[in-house]
Amino acid sequence: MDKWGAVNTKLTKEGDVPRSTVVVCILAGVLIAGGLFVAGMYAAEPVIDEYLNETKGIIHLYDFYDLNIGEDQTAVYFIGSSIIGASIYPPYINQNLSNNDYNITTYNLYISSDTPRRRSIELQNIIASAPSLIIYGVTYRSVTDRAEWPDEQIVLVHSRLKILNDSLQLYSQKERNDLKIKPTIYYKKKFIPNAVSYTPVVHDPTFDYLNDPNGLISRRYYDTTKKPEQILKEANNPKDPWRPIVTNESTRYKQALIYNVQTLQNAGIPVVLINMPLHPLTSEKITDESRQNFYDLLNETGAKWYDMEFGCGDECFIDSHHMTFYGATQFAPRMAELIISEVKSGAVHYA
Amino acid sequence: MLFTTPEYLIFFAIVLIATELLRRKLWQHCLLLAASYYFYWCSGSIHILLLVFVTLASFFCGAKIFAADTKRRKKFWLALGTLIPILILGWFKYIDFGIASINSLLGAAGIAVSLPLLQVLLPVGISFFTFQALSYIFDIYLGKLEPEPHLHKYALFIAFFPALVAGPIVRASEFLPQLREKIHISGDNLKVGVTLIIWGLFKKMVIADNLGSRVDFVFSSPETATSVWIILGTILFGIQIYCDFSGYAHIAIGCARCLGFRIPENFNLPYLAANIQIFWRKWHMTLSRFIRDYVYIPLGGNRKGHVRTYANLLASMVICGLWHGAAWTFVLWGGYHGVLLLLHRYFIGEKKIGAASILLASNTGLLLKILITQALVFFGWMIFRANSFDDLLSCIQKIIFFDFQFSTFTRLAVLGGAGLILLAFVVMSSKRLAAFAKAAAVYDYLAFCARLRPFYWTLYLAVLGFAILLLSPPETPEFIYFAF
Repeated sequence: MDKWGAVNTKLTKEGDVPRSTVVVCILAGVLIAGGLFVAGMYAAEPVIDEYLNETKGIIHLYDFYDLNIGEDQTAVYFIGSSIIGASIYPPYINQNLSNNDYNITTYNLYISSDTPRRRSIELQNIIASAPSLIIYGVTYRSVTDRAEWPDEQIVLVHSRLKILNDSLQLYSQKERNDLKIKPTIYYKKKFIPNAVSYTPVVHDPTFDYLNDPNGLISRRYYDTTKKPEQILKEANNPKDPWRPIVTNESTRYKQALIYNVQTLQNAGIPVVLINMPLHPLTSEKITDESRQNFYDLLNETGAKWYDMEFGCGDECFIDSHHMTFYGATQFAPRMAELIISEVKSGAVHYA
Repeated sequence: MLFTTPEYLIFFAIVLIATELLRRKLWQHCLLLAASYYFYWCSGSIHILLLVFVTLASFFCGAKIFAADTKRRKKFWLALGTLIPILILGWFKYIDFGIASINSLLGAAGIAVSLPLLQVLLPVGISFFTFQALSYIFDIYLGKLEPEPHLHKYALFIAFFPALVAGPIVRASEFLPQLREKIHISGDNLKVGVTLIIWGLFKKMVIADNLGSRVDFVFSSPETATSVWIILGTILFGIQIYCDFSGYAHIAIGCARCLGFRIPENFNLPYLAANIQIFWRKWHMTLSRFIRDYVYIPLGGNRKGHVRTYANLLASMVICGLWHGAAWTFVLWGGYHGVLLLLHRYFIGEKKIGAASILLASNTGLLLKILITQALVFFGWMIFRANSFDDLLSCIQKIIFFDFQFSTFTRLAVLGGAGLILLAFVVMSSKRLAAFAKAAAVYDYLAFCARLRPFYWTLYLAVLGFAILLLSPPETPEFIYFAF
């Protein structure tokens, strides 16, 4: 092949191919391709919707909010990331409360990789479901500034989001666009690649515990323990975007945490923050400066907060942040005590 | 402005229509120039001043070289015309790399001084348009080209938007003569151009972009990936970078063709190369020829004895590696290919090892040579893609100390790959099948598609268009070579 490439040589005499014909062909090609795509998406809609409902547990979370469960019972929500997911075992907490004659039901509403900015988009849904208390589990890396935004889950439930204007300042322009995106084309374009990757359909059990009284399904990820050297390597990895470092700068993550707490409190829902337990090796790596900056932030929220970073040994953790089942069972009584003390202080309305 | 966005397609359509409507050649050139600057403004905003400066400096120096009556004056203007783009490229692309390297050296020497990084933003396409300017200067000095008297034509050559941000690196002798005629958007050019554009979009948006996320996943933390995924990730990256870059090149060539310009091809089935020398004649061909004509040959090429030839090869490839990026992994990648070329020259070129082998001369031998060559090339892609030396070492460790951890998918992938290679050997061991396979591999399918009758050509557009709409990820990442 010469330097022009065979296709790039003059194929026909000038004028042999009428320009109008070529233009018509291009337009026809575009129309056919576009028409096929749109028709195909609508034809596949029933299959896609079933696939999405099966695989995307986030829908279950919003279904849960829509139950407005707090209107019929004293409900306490635990919110936060997978750190809450691993540490909070509602059946034990509920049993503990029941043993103390409190008819209170707790719910573990963690979302993996949750951040304050991510959680801010569902505040109104939370408020509408009328919980009596929210226990918000945070840790140092919850507020480190990372350049990520909610994933496709947001697109999937975007029609169910009730976002207030005053929260828009927390999001970049692209994120605001994502919140408004119509999911049809976006998600259905992802269907084929996802279907190829994940066939047969893989069920996402993340929020199954909402229907599972024993809540064991939420534990399924937390059964492998990392070795101490692995934990240290993570803690020392300068490239880890989740490093527990808190600066004194005002980041959007910090603003989001303050916004979340104050929005919930202004809606009449008491909020308690917990500085979540950490593996001792990880705690050692946190600088005094980061720790103080984090404490200052927790104070700035205006909510009551409990420092539970220390007090759980390494046997309670599978890695730097997530608890084993044993750890969660040890942590459950402390959570029950916290809830009871909030009830006794009058912060929580308990009928 | 990415080629893969609707904004670009609208922009291009407007430029096409407007160019055709303008009656005079000068107006057409000015329109294209304005469109090119607008295109660059959308990509790099303030850096457009850089583009203008490089254009003016090289235009002026080129004219001075030609007009100089003594060798000394010619050399002076050559030096100036070379230094300006090189210094600009060096500043924007390599200054922080240099500072970081100095800091590393100081740290290694136990000196507790750390120079601050300047955080200089890399202008899009700087490696490409500076090289185009340099080739113009060099060709004038070497007597291969007379300077372009019209500034607007030269500016259009440097800034021509299809090739501006990621090549191909066009030579003035290839482009400027095409400006003598009035531009006419012919049906033939439009058909060939659109054939290339949609194929390029398919390669980029369907193949490269879908592979990208998996490749990023593997290389973001190779220490946690399994050995088989390191290898798979490397193979996928090799496919990704080829489809990304050649896809871009096809779109660029196609856009130029629609406007009635021909710019040279950049790839010629590089993954079918049977030795490393042939690989570099098929991969990024316009850069290879630049390095050959303006670095390797001026250094002496192969005319100064064996040792000097090897040194020239190595130096040329190190420069090639450094051109790709300001990181030691790129230098290492360039050096790696330099060593491969050197070894090829010594063992195959001079010692003629294997020349008498009947096996290697057979079709099966050809397949073997291709597989070995590509294994070496893809190992180089691992060096190229690694984010740091530590990551590269992790990758190499994982391959050497294979962990034999397989998932269902990776097991299938390995079996599938092995099956394909076995099938290829079976095919190549049969003369008839091998002849068919060789013909099928090198057949120019794009030329065939561009010659299709209107009905079938419409189907070609519709099928590829549908595939792009259906299979491209919702957000199109930037082209890999934009980073260079």
